[in-house]
Amino acid sequence: MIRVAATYYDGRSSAQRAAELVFTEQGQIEVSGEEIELSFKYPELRISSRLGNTPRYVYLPDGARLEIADNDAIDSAIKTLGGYEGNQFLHFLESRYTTAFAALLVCLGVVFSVIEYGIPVLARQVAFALPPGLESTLGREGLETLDRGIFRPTTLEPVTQAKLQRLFHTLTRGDSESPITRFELRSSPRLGANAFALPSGIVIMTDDLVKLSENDEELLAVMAHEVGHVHHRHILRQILQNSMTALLVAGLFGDLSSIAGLSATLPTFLVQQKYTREFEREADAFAAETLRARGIPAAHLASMLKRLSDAHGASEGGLLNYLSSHPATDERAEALNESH
Amino acid sequence: MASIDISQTAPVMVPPADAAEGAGAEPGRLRFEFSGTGGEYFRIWIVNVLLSILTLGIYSAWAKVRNKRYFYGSTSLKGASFEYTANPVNILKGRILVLSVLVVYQVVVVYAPLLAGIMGLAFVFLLPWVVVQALAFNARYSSYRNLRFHFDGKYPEAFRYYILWTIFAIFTLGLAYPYAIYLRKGFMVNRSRYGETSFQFSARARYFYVVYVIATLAVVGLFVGMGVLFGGIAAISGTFADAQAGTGDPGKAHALIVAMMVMYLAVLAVVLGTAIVVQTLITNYVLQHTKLGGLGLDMRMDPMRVLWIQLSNVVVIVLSIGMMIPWARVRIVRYRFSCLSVLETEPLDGFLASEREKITATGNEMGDALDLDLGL
Repeated sequence: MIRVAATYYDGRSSAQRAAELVFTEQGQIEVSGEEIELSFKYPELRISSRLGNTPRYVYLPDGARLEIADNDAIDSAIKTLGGYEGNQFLHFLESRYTTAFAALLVCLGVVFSVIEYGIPVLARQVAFALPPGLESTLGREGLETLDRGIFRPTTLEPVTQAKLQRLFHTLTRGDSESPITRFELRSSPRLGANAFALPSGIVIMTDDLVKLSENDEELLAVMAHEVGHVHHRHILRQILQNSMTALLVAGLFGDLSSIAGLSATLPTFLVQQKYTREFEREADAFAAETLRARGIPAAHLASMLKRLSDAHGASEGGLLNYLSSHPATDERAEALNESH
Repeated sequence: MASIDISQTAPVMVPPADAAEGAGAEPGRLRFEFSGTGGEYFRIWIVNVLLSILTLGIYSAWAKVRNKRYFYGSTSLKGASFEYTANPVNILKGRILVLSVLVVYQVVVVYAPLLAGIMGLAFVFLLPWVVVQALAFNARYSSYRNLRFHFDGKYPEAFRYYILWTIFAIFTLGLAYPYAIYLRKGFMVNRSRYGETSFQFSARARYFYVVYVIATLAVVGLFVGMGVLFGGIAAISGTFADAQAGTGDPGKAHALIVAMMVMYLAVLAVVLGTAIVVQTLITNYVLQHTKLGGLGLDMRMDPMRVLWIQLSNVVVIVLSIGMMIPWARVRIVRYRFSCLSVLETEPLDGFLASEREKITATGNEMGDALDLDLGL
């Protein structure tokens, strides 16, 4: 026979009454207190599962409820009922630091694998499965927006323009895997020397970059790098990966209040920057491969990258690297020099 | 969005008292006790996260219930704890519904932008319903001393306060905004019940205006001050870097990046800090002017203390890559409850269940038309 102290609430008013639960050897549960004299068999009432050291509740069939502060007493009483274990498994996991630590390790492992492999692989599959037509609107509208904003028409001689167009098309000819590509020249004092790939295979190069180059091989190298982004569907993959990352982080930090939720923006940003750096490396490798197929040393891309980073005065290496969208130039140059 | 937590403003959760002046052990003043600890909650939280991950998010509904049960159960007033009784299945259904709508919307945005616009407009009309639904769900499954809370707010009223007043606030360049917030708080309090007893809101709009006007002036003042400060630093460091490196572009660019990051953080801190202080002052004021029957509540949070706790929480969470989330959460909730009290000018034993609850108790639960949790 086990006695458990409780507080009784009838469910019709907030009145509080001291009560006692008695679990008899016969499997009978007797509830007694001021003007309370009740008796039940186990399945007629329900006992809430244990959760940390929060109070337990016994739900009686008539809607009344007993609150019990002594978790150990009610747990040992439950054992006498036989068959009724409630949800003890969760409490088993939650009540010791060893299982909590194991859970933590598994969580970290899963989150790491999802970021490192899960999201990139999934995004790649989806990006290559989607019809290329989907991107065309995105690319066209993107270029229109940029034209209204930071871009001005190119000021290069028509002869130079034509030469660059020819140069670009020597790259894409014979590459049946890449979506249809288009080469555009723009002037942009604000961006300086730069080149981009937009969705649907639009490659843009600024006048300043053309002027900065020392020979056509260097320009070809930059074009090959941008075609690498197009070839690998990087823009679409980036959009997909960024939304998947945001979803993952929201899932992990989602139930935080809006203020504490802000702490989720930094990890999201770091993971997204890591992905873009990987895309840059992939585009570099593609460029090196393309150049080699044409008998051009990959060192041209390395020298162009070096000059670009000098022109932009970018800081390299160290902690800032994790915040950067591109890998450090030295590291990229090294990889390019190794690639042949 | 519309989720309500006992850790937040909603008076829905909290029972009777009186906002008499002065604190201490005066007779009749009841203090809330919060017994949750960071260590205990960490273990519950990490198991929740693990099972949610392993079940691809399905368990998250059960996790939400366990979470809320922990915080409710750890909170007590006069020897009785709070209880969260929602069925996880209803939460899961609500989440699936909301997620499906969002997925459909994303697809529509890509393939039919015009239809997406119409859907966007529909969301505006849906929002008040979602707010009401979330508040009602949360109240319905919150109980104290075996009596449920209720929220009786209806769609038309919610539409007025959440949509029409927002539009009005935009057209008046924000002048109507404090009044809109005042109306929303009043809506939340006045339409809430404990058993059959309604909460009453006696606040005045004037205080909301005072708080928001001072906050606006403070933000403007801080921005101007920061602009002057950063302008000066930029000028000095710019010339300094120039002198050091001759034409010195790289050093200058480096300094500029760091300066911009510091500036970004400073702006964020000012905006957030002000938001926290405003929220704290409003919460104090609203709860001090909330009554239940003959009883009232009293809330006395120190805005600077809340500011410190919240901002240091963010830093600790980031540095611990999220592992200190449980500790941070327990810390702020414990502080809030330590500032909340009740003056028992009327016996706490005297509240009655509503008629519908008596029906529920006998087992004839009608079941609401849509018993879903939409407060993600």
